[in-house]
Amino acid sequence: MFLTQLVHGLTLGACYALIALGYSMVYGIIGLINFAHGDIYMLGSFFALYLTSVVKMKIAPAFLIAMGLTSLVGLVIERVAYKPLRRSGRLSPLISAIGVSIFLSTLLNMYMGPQTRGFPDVITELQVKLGEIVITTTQLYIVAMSIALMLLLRHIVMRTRVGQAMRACSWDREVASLMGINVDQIIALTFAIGSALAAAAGVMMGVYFNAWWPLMGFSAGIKAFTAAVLGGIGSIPGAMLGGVVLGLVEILGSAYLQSSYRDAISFTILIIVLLVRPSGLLGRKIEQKV
Amino acid sequence: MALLELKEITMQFGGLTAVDHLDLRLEEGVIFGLIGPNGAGKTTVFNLVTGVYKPTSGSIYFKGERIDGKPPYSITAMGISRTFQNIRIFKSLSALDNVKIGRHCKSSMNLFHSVIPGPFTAREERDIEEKSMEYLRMVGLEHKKDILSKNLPYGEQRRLEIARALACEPKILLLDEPAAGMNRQEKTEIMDLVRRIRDTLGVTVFLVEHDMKVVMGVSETVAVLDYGKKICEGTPSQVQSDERVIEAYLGRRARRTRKAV
Amino acid sequence: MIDAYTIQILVVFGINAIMALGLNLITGVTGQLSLGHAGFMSVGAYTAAIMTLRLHTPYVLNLLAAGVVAGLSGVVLGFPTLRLYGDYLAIATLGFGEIVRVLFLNLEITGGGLGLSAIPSKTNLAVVYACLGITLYVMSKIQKSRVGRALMAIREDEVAAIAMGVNSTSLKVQAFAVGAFFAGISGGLYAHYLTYINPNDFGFMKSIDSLSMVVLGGMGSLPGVLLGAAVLTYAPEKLRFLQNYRMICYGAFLVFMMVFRPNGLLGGTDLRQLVKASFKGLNWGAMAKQGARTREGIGGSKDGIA
Repeated sequence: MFLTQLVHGLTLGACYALIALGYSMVYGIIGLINFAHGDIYMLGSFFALYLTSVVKMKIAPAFLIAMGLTSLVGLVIERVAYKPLRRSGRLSPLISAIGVSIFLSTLLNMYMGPQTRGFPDVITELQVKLGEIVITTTQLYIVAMSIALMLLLRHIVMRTRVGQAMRACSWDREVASLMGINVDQIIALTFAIGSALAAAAGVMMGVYFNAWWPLMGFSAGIKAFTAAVLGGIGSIPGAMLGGVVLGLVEILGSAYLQSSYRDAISFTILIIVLLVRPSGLLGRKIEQKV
Repeated sequence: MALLELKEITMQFGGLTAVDHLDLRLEEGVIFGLIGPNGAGKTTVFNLVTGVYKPTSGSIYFKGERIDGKPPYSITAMGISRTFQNIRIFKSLSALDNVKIGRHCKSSMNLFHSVIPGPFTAREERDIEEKSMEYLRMVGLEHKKDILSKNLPYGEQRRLEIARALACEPKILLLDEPAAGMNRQEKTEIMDLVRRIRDTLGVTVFLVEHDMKVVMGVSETVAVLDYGKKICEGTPSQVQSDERVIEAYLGRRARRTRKAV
Repeated sequence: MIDAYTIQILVVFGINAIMALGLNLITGVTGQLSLGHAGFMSVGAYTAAIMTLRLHTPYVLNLLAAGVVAGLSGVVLGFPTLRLYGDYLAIATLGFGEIVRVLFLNLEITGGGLGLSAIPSKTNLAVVYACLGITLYVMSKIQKSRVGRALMAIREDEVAAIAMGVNSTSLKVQAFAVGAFFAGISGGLYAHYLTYINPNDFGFMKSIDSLSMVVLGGMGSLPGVLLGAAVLTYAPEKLRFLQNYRMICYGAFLVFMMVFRPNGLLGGTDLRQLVKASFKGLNWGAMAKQGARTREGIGGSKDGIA
């Protein structure tokens, strides 16, 4: 039973990690907490829901198309709501991001209604029993897919020219642009990749819990953000670690706590981390530049 | 007793040693220049003195009292104030309000005073206003008091920052590259201003500067920093003829030019 | 004679304005984004309600206690979190708002999900406007004072403010306390007006409501905040058909304002200026232009953190 819960927590954690990566990458590069990221995740899930239930598509193409569409939306949002504010103080982009978040979630709320919707049967669910542990095929898919995506991201960031440019931008945008890097393009790309990852998480969570609702982005966003901070915001391995830790803590916590307090768990962890070790588990120390 | 004394100060960032066993003594009333090639650790010294950084090892004394480890705002209140390399004025506030904020540690009204009117608060507010105008006048900006500081030209923003720093009535003023980005005329004005600050207000001036002409023209003592170490200290003429300084400054450049050829 | 409906709108406007003025001190003047302001209002509302229901204390005392308890909660939240730079604070306040909500949904003394009802109806137009008047007075005095200037310095450039001797942590906590105090008062008024409160009345959206009022009128500008509160109280009432779109509009509107008018409609103007101008035959155009010219927006310099 305990081990089965552990697998459940790991699955959740893998998804949190995917969302957390988007927060972390964007924060690393433009220093903005992208409040709308949770709603991007919700939107990704929505696209897949629409494609599988209305268009009657299979899950694999729906998954890919949802990622593609969501990264487009991510690009548009960056262009409209964040890019014009690149040179203004730090408060304006943050408020703008909150605006985007509210816009997306209430728009979908209007269009689809507030109720929870289920996905059609997109995966033939089998159970694998390993002694005490029960693992479902969905869980296997999710964990495998998350690992694959994270490895792909790692490859892009560490081994390609674009990735090198991204790392350069996150160290120092001005110097990067002096080195001939098109910073605007790199930032846009960061948003696109982050959004695609969030969409992937959205589709997988939607299928896993068989649920989509317009406000699902809020709590998932907060949890993923907690994961990003826990791991060390700006750090990619940190986001992965933070996601998995948070998924486990949440599942174990809700086993012992009253379930109505469950949503407060991640907030409490978040505030504790911010107070005790704001640089997170793997993050570099935040130094002030004077 | 020296006014400001750094003893064996070392500052490390990760593996990088920005300041390496540095000793400095500033006597009261001097104009002291600190120079050195880019990345020599000059601004780091300022950040250490003003409490932005806590030294990895060593100690800093001001008027005989140890100040390293104290929070920056209380170091300012003790009588050390500064300007920044990349001007940091309060952009959307007027020039006068900028200087008024400089009076912060010379006034004491708290939240309750501001809400409950009384003769004390009125007097203090008047005092803040008058003194602030005095400092604006000193840097020649009294006629621009109501202009939002971000709309001032560059040179005036620099002078405004100096006025703001003076408004704390410091014993010692730290100027971080005050002549950066200025033309020759403005540089002369800044040098005049620095001398006037010392002569009329009796404020000790600690100056970090890139521009040799400015440092040599205005300082009485100059110390040279290279890779965080003090390599030389003396009068401008002593420093200028010192082998190690030429090596650190010109020598390296000369060598580089040679390589390029 | 004013009819009951108009009175209702006026009362709600007053309550909203008091809350927004409190938030304005934190966000508009000090530049610290608070996303949990409804949490303070909630604390105030519940304090007043519990006092009157359990202890039968008089109305004025309830209001005061609402403010004080909310203010204290501001200090409690502020002390640990205000050391945090910028964006983290926003998240911490968001967390605070949610934790308060979840707590009140689960505690017995707050009536859980049912909320508290049968709170005596005491709040009327006169009380609300007396409170609004006091709030305006306090806020305008603070903004003109040494403390107010220091708060603005923190907003503009915290590093430079500290270098000028400003103890930024202490002052930010004070700003939080005062802002939370007035949110608490507004919560107390609200509880005694509606006679029924529920934790979900004070959710994230309520915080965004207030933030929108501050942003619309102009961060840091008192007449701006009043205007923002008036428009955002009145418009949804009159434009009923818009109600469903209200939150969508808020979202789009926040983005729009940040991109095109980060200082709000009346940003960069203050109360005295406005009164003076209105006597002299107001030059609104010039004032609006002044607001627009300060495009750089609020929040000061970006290069505070590496």
